[in-house]
Formats: sequence, C-alpha cells, structure tokens
Amino acid sequence: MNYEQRNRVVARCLFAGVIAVLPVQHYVIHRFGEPYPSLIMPSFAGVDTKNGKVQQQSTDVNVEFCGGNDRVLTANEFLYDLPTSHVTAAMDWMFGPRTPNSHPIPRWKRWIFRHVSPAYCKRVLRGEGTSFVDNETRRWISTQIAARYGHRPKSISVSWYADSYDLTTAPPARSRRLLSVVPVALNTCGQ
Amino acid sequence: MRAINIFDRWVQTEYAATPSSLGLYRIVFALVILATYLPQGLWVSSFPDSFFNPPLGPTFFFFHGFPGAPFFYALNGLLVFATVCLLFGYCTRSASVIFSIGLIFLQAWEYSFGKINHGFLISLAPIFFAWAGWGSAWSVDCRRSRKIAPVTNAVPIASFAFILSVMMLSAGAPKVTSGWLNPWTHAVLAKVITSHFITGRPTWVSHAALQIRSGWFWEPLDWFSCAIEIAFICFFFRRSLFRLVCAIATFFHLGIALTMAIYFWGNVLIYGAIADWDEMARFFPFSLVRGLGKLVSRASLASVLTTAALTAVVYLTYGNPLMKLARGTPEQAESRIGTLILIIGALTSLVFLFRRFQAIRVVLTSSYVRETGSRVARSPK
Repeated sequence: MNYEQRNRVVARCLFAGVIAVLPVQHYVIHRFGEPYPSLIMPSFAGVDTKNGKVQQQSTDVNVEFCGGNDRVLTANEFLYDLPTSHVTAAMDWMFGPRTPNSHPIPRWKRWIFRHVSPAYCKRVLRGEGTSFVDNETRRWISTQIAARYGHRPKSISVSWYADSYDLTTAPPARSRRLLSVVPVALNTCGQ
Repeated sequence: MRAINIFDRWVQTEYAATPSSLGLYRIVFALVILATYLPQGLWVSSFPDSFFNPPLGPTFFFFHGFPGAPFFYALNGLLVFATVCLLFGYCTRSASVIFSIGLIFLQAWEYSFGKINHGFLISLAPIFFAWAGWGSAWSVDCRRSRKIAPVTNAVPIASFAFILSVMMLSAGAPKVTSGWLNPWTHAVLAKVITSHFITGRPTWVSHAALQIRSGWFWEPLDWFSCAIEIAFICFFFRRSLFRLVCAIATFFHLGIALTMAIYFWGNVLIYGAIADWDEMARFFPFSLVRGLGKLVSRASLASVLTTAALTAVVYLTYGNPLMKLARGTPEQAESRIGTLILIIGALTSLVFLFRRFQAIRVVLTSSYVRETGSRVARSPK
C-alpha cells in the first residue's frame, strides 16, 4: 500500500470513526454525564422565558467568625481560587442539598466501583445522601477564609435560592425564594 | 463506488494548504498558547480531595483525588517546553504529540471539579496539523531536513474541519430542539441575565444590553446563534464557504465574550487553521509573523533548547510574563488577553469579509459590463 492509498484509507476511517463516535457519545452522556475528551461544545440549551421570567438557582455562603461576627459571601468569593466557571458545579457537589435515592447499590457492585472507579463510587455515595465535608475539607475552608478575611470561621451555612428575574422590567428585577440551608460546623476556633 | 471516489478526491484536495501557510499558522498557534494559556491548572492541587468529581475520562478510573503540586509543575514545564519547540519548528511532530497528550491530561484534571470547559479543540489541533505538515516550512526541522520540496497533507485539515463542524453542531442542534427558535422565548437574554447576576460575570456591554427589553433585539440573537453553529456542518464541504462561516463566527465569539465574559479565544485560534496565512502575512500585523518565521527557522539547535528550558523555568517560577503585565488574578489576566485575541480575530475577519465581498462585486461588475457590452455590440446602430 503506497502513501496515497494509505492516506485515503485513513481519511475514510477517520470520517467514519467520527460519525460512529457520535451515538456512542450520546449514550455515554445519557448514562454517565458528559465525558472528557469528547466531540462536544457547550450547548447552553433550553432556557424558558415564556412566562416572562428567568429562573435560576443561586447560592450564598454565610460565614460565622470565631469572634461572633458574620459575613455573607457569594459563591465566587467563597471559592476564590477556583475559576468562576467551576464554582456552581463545585458548590453543588460539596454543599448541595442531598436527596437520598430509594435504590441502594448492592455490596458487590459497590466493591467494584470503589476499586475501579473511586470517582463513580463517590457519585453513588452522593446519590445516597453522603456529605463529603470531612476534617481535611473543614481545615481547608478555615484556612482559606482566615487567609482572606483575617479571622478563623466558626461555621458556614450555604443557602440555596430559587431566583426569578422579571423580564418586563429593565434591568430585570429579582425575587428570591429560599430552597434550603446546608450548615457546616468547622470547629477550628481553637486552632 | 462513485461516491467514495468523489469523497477521496475531495478529502485530498479541498483543504490543501501550502507548507508556508501551515508553518506561519504553527508560529501563531505557539505564540498565542504561550501568551494566553500557559501555565495552566496550577491551582488544582490546592483543593482537598473531597472536591474531586471527574467526568468519564482519564481521571475517572483509579484516582481518589488530585495529584500534588509537583505533578502540575512538571506537566506545565513539559507543555511550555513543547510549545517553544513548536514555535521554532524543532522536532515538530514529537512536540505536537507531547503538547496534545499533555494538554488533554492537564485539562482532564482541571475539569475534575464537575465542570467541563470544552477546550478539547486546542488539544487536538497540534496532532492533526503536525500530520498535515505544519513543521515543513518556517522551521528548524525544514532547515535540517534534506528534502528539496516540503510537502503537506490536506486530509488532516479536512478531517479537522469535519470534527470542528460536528462539535459546533453539538452546540447548535440542542439549541434548535430546546426552543431557541421560538419567538416568544429569548434564550440569549436568559443567558446574559444568568451570567450577569448569578455567575458573577457582569460586563459593561451586558449592563447596557439588559436595559433593552424589546424582543426584536433579543430574538435575532437566538436565531443567529443557532444559524452560525449549524452553518459549520452545512458548509464544511467547501473551504471558501467554510472560511466565510469561520470569519462570521469570530464576531459571535466576540459577542459572547463582551456580554457573558466567556472567552472562547481558543475557537478563534482554531479557525485560523483554515485561513490562508500566505495571504494574511502580507498585511500588518501578520507580516510580523513572516519576519518571526525567518528568525525562528534560522535558530540553532542549542538556542532552541536553551530558549525552551529558560521559558519553562520563567513560566514556572515567575508566571506568564504577559499575564503579569495584564495584572489581576490569572483568570482576569486570561480574560483580558483572550478579549484582545478575539478583537484581533474579529478585525482580521472584517478585513477578510470586506475583501471577499469586494472580489465578488468586481466579478459581478465585470460580468455585467461584459454582458451589456456584448448587448451593445449586438444591437443595430
């Protein structure tokens, strides 16, 4: 097979491969969420503004300092080392309200997940309502806040809101409804 | 059989590029990556493992958390070294492959916080363009090789254009099916509101735009977004039309950057791969790239390796000098340089579109003159 013939075969395989990957990718997205790497661009799909309102979920973090003061931070201010694009996903993963599902995973499956894909195992645990805020995370939050605001925090509580923006006014007026509050005790005052 | 033959002919000819054009693009690509992108992901190791939430990919299996800072320093050092080698066109194929694989892994760690930022095209491009022959001109490799006439391959460029089109379709199709074309919903408005008030990325353009309530302003933006993303797959079979789509898309990305502070400068850099850099290098500021091309292709092996090593050391100890100049947090600096790249891309596209329409006008005028001339000649005196 000469260079030109090989080139031709590679081109055919490449185009066919890209077309073949699409349904597989679609299945993977449906089953496990968006993979990386993948042939996908951000879709920004599906925002309904039919009723004249835009509805989005938002977060505030209320920090109670050891001295007794408190301060309300936005999610971006709270996770200031993280790129802003990652903040919403990270807040949801770490401090999002948990709703345990009713179908527990069998033990043997759990064992396989834990050893082959700890990441998938964590997703399963999250589905069962487990919180990932361990002692290392508490120390980390405390150090981050102390470095930025000069005082160690006693606790934080993450408030989740359903925000609604009225499109009939310019600029759009906001109304908000509290969905849930996730308290996190840090216990780092004496340190 | 006939269809296969047509495909074979198309894939080997439609996206043919000169070695010089690809070589100049390689230099621009490496410069932009060095200016805007590297070092990258050094913040990942500062987070506790509880934040680890990777997508299905290289970090999904066997890892329990993030690697330590030395891993990210080593990976960034390797990437900076490979990018400088790309700039000089030294060991171009190896440098391209190392850059692509290294960046895919680095991005996989960055995206292990539950959010994917879709920078895959930048990682993928070097492998395809190394295969296309972007190291065969304006490079140290070219000077060192004994080949008299450097050759390029159009297949990888056509394949890359197809992949780009499919990826843009993956963005456009969900928009169309989820109501963006419905005249009573204004999806762009909703996205701008989210970005301005909730994600915390207000810009002066979004502030001004949100004063406008008219659907006549917002709905065409929904339609334009869908149309431009789907246009890629409709026109990729013809390079001249694909270039037009890419040129128009640069305005789309600039608009997104100005209203939502989302900087897809990587896409604009990728569109540059389809451009004719021989033609572009006749005009300022791209004429500087040709001068730089002459300079880098004359570099000695020792100077290339020394520059690569020194650049890696500077980037890892001091940081990216251009980002330091741009000031602010790394994200703010990247957004400022990203905006600059998007503006340069949009201005270049404007010149390209102007020249294209001028050429069309000249063709139309000359055919009109020919037709009316012959009619005058035929008419009885």
